[in-house]
Amino acid sequence: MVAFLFFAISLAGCIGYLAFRRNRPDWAQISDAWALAGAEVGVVFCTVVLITGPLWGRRAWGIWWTWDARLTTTLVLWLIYVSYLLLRRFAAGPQMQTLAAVLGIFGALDVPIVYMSNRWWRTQHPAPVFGGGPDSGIKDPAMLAAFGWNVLAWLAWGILILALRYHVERQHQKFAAQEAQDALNA
Amino acid sequence: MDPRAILDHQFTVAAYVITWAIQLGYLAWLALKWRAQKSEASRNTRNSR
Repeated sequence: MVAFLFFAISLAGCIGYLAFRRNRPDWAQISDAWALAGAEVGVVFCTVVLITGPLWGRRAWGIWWTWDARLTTTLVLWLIYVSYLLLRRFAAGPQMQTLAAVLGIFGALDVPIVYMSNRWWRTQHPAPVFGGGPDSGIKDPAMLAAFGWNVLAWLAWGILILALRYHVERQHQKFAAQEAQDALNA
Repeated sequence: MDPRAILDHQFTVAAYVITWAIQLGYLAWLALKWRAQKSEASRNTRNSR
């Protein structure tokens, strides 16, 4: 759930980069930094889900993994964003950021599919706790409070590392621009 | 004593350890990257003077 927010920030950054890359290069760089930071932090949270989820699955279902709709779409989401990060890390040239932005938008299309997967396809995963019909929702108020504080705490932690990642990327962009300027002046 | 309680405890500990190893590992990687960039930037500034 928290990962979805960071993938949404990445999507906004990707769209912003494609919108501003021709007429506002400074805004495009800022958007690109948000796109990268959102994707990276989203992958971190998604990795935690994909590793700790099977721990719960082993206890609840007796199996570590099954190819049910929610698990498979989450794995696909993770793979798309890992390929986005690999593209950014290893591809070079002026088109890299544009290609990455397109891939980032493509990856974000999987987010609503992951969210809706256990509503559309009733496979191994349990019915959604929230928004899954009239009987859904957490009944115990103590559990609801624990859930709410957990979401808030992870959100705060995620925003902290997102801000740090954005700052590091902006610093990298400024450093790269300075190097390019020095090379032109030399 | 319910033996499943021990299993639950083990699984909970594993989940905490894995979660914080990933999150703090990422934070440490970011901090190292930031420090490396800062030192490289200051080295380049000194060289350009």
